[in-house]
Amino acid sequence: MKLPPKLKKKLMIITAIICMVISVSVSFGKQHNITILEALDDIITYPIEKLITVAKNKISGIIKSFKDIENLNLTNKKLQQENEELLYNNIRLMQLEKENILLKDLLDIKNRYKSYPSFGANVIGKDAGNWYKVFTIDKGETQGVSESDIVLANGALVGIVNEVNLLSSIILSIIDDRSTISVEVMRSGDTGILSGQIELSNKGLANLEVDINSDIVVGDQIITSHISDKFPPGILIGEVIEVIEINNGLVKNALVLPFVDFSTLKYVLLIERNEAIN
Amino acid sequence: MIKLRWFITISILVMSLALQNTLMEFIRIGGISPNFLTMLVVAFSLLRGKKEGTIIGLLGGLLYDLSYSHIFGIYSIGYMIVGFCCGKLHYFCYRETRILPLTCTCFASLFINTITILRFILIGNLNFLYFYFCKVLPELIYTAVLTLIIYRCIYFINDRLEEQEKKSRKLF
Repeated sequence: MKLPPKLKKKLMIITAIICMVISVSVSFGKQHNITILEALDDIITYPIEKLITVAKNKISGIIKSFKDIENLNLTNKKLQQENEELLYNNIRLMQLEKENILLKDLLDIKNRYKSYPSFGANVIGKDAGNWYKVFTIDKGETQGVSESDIVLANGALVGIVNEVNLLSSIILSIIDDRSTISVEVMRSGDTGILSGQIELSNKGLANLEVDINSDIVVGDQIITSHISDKFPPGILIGEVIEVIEINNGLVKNALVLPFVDFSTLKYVLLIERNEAIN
Repeated sequence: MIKLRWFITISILVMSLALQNTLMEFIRIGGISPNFLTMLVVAFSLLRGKKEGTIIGLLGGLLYDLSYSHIFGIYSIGYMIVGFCCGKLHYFCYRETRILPLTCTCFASLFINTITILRFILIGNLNFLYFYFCKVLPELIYTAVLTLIIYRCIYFINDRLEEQEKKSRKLF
């Protein structure tokens, strides 16, 4: 189909204007929390992604159940032994807890360790490209997720809610190149900055930067620090697997292996941010 | 008939995005995944010309931008340019040969990844050797190999659609 040059020019101008209007509306909407286009996209893709994930989990669950019967018998025996030990330990710890509460009351720091309100969610998608480590979960604004909620799995930190859509929301994981967290070495109490790096993120590692004088060795556990205003203090993150000395006289680097396995992440736990900080 | 054509095209784009987000972990090799959107945009625009190629590129990029992109518009504009440039080659494309789609996909993948690297340059990470040899090159090879299959599928679908359109044209 040949178009006359005048009409062609008009068509080009119209296309350019449409592009500009779309990008302006999206960036304006992001500032003021009006996300029409995102909601539309969400409504289209959510059912498909959810369906595929449910089917995938069902099928892999059935296959796995056949494999696991023998293993289960063995682990069952082990767990029973462990259970007896734990029962004994539990009683001992109960006594300690009572003592702890008494002491905390004395110190008046009880309010700091409230049990945070939380709810679970399923991971239904991952960033398709090779550059970033972002996840989609199946709960959104309608289910009460809000921006910068904290995301955990297996008791360790996964990341933070970066973007909330109508039905789903997007999590920025701690190994992503865009994420930086203030952390603390559990043993010595030294603080540092944990940042994701593009070179490490495919191996599931993150980079920790601490002061040159701080005390850090391989095997140290890393938790979120008391300085951070994004995360509540004391959430487990990972373990130091390598300390790298740099000759600039200012900082030391360390590689941290998170306790969460990001390649097989399925279920996560969300903590409401406002409750956690106050 | 044109409605059917666009309905099928858009549903292919949406399905590919959804599949890429959910099932990609099964076909990742060494943490590297192929990029289906590049293949689809290149295949469609080679078969249908620059006007439709541009629109398909814009739509696909927009879908990707809305769901994951940190900086809105990078992929919409990027895939739009890819669609336009491959659409320009529409007249040189013998549909049965696979050399042109293969080379086009290679260049498109290189182009899209270079756009992505711009973000890393802006924050001061200039590790180009790592970017190109550990991220871009494996993805390019993987994508190019899979193009041979995907192009076949798109060619088949497009052929069927065009046959349908011809039939309906004869009626009137």
